[in-house]
Amino acid sequence: MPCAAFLALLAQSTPFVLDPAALPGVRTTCGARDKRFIVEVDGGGLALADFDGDGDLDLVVVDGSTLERVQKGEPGLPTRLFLNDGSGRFAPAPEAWSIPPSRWGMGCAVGDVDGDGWLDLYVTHWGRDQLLRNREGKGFEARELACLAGEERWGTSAAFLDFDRDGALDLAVLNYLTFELGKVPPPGGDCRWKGHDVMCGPQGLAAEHDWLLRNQGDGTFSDATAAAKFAPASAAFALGCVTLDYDLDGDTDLYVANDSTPNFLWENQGDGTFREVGLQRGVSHDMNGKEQAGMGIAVGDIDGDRREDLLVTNFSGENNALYMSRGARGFVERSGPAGIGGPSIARLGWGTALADFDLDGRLDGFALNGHVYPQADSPGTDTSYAQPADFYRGLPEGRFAVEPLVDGAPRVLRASTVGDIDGDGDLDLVALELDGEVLVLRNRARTPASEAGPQWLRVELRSPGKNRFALGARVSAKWVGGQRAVEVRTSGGYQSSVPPEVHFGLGAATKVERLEVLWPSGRTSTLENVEGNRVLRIEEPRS
Amino acid sequence: MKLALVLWAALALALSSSAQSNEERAAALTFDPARLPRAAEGHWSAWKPSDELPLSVRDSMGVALAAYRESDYAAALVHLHGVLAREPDFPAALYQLGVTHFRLRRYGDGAKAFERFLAAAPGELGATQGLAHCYYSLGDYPRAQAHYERVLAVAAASAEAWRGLGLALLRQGDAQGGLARLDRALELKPDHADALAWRAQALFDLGRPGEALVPLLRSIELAPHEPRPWFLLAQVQSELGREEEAERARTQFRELGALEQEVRAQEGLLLYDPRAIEPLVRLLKLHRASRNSGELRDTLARALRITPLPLELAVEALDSADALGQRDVAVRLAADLEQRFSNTRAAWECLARHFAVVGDAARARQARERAAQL
Repeated sequence: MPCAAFLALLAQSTPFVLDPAALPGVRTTCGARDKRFIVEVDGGGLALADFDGDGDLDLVVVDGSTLERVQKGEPGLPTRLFLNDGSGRFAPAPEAWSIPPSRWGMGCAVGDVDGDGWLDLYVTHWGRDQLLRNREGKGFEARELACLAGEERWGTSAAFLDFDRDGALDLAVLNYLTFELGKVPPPGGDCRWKGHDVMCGPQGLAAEHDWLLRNQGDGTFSDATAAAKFAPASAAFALGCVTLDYDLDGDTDLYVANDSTPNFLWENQGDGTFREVGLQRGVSHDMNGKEQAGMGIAVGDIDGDRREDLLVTNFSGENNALYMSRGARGFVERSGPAGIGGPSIARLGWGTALADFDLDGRLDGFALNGHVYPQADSPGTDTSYAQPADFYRGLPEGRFAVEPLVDGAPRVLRASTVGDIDGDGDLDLVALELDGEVLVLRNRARTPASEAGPQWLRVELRSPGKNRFALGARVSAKWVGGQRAVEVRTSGGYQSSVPPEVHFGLGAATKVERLEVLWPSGRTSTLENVEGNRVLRIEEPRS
Repeated sequence: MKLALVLWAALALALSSSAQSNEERAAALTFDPARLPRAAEGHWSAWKPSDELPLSVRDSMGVALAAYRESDYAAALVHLHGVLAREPDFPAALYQLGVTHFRLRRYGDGAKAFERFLAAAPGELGATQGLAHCYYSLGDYPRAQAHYERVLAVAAASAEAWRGLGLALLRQGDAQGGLARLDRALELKPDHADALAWRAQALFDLGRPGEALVPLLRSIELAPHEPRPWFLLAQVQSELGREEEAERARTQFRELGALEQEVRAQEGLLLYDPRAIEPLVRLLKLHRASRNSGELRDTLARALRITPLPLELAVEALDSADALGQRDVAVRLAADLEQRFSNTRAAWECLARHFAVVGDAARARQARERAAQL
């Protein structure tokens, strides 16, 4: 099929189809279906990464628990790894990869903590978090972090970043709120929403401070929260986070979506400390100056100005916020002009990402939706419990068309992760349905057999130091008809992790004219006339 | 029709004091208005807003209106549902149902009620504008725009419709178009604080921060307790490179924003239970602390609808009346407090404050002594 015709076809329909055979019958549990307590509504986490080193993306599913199990003192349901057979089909990993259960799993983050070239896994819990060291692609070894001994907070999202630029990956862990069974009241009383009795929280419950853990260079961590000034005056209900160098000063900053409280932008001061500048940089509130209930975060250079923009999914009755970057000056909220503000008001969004899913050279996005209150199906709520997921098809001039992500069916979705699971060059999606299945959404922008069709380039970076996967590196690509800059990260979305690589859709262009890499070390690499439709691995020059 | 409704509302005030039971109110809130019976097509085609109310619904409409005016929206729904069960699609009740749902922030139901009303009374301005407000709140900006335009086609002097149209355009990314409509709103109503703030937003969006300052500062002057203009002012000053001024605006925004958040939370509780004591007490405290006399006056009026006043609300009401300089109200509240709560320390402490405010030093001293004895 001629390329232009293929692109035209793509423009007419969502690129995703459900693939039930990719991960049959894998479900998660998050409490009971009546959702009487807030711990039952957030769902688990997902991660895509190549853990066994065979060149394809494996899948981690973080599972939850039930209040009955907790009351009986039983552990939660275990986090599971599923290995990819190379075609995008997943099977349970052998026993060596088993992960001992903790109390109630929430989210996860992926990074190489010891610089051995193998990706490790951090799992957050309501309860004790876990670090799973990857034994050179042969299995996980569970460790508790000594610096968090005895800590049993409610962790949500986490992010690996080298905040102090010592070459080793540090870890930011978000915590939500203090939840103690028996102390949180049941639905009713002041816990009302739109006239209906609902579960209590987060308002009225105590928010928890987040953690910043410094890698001591050997994969062990110390608590650097206070020393790095990573503590705001008031704790917030943190749910989503993403690393980015928003001010392009060469160090990694951190953006945090907080539930019902202003979002944080932690600006790295370059001296091992942070300063919270969310309000100053225009990313703490909506354009009305109202704090929103932030859930997930997507990041991407929407307008091709080589600065990454932010998309935050929010509660129903609030629009998803699109913060367009103006570099060091911060951001301006543009969800209305972009076309996603109004349509998102009826939705409660969670997992999200910005990427060129249809490979037309423009960034697209999506938001997984689903309410926290089953009572959302009652009259007068202007929303519903199960909701369709939205695909944001990228249009010229930073606008998006809002379409059904897959089949338009309403679901109660939560976490998502994105990656090319079948190696065909387009980005697939995995979505977690609350108390339901883990769904694999296959991207049909390309098929493994197709030679024609839109073009793409995937870039993997490798550094000689401890940050082997070059998290924080910045890759800029310019091709006929477009340009874009992307940072290498594994954070983003909601309680989830993505592969440490960058991906460009090139539309009809067959090559990238110029590809620049700014490594975390400050070194640069420049390549010209890079052929598309391939995975390009770039090694950091040693000098 | 308006006069008739007012008369019946006055008559119904007495009736409404026998408030609906909690069960009835809760049932009204969980009732899906889509289940209300429909009239045969064309049944109300001859209806005019000036028509007398049908006898069958006259009392219920009056009580519904009275409840609405007392901010008891759930009770209003109970009666409106009753009216519409007896007289399906009765337009006046549908209109009031739309307004009540809007107040309850149930915009979808509000929109449906206005749509049904407009089927009987096409082009009626109040409902068309109500429908536009509902669509706007639901995020359906194109439909909001269309309905504001319909209002303006008939009533070009409606500042509120020009403002709504301006906002709907701004939300769709048309800052220039939004600015032009907001300018029309301000020609008609130059001191519209919200329109001024949005005009500033449009100018800021258009990359004209210097011009945004004038309307923004005027908006702040008119509505000093609104956090949003301060939020925008911080952005504008920052854009103009005046970081010190921007930081001052942020500080003000943080204070007002925190206050507004708590006010919203308490108002949210009162929305469904207008006689809840704790939120009223908290609101009186908040508005008094922020010296927001307009809101304090309104909240005090709401509090005084509760009879008899429980101690904590009576104390807060007296302090508020004194703060507002409402001497007659304060004297009445002080007498009530002295009569009903003479054995409580909190009452005498409050009375001591009151007598000090009115300059009666002797009685203030006596009150302090009584408090100390308890």
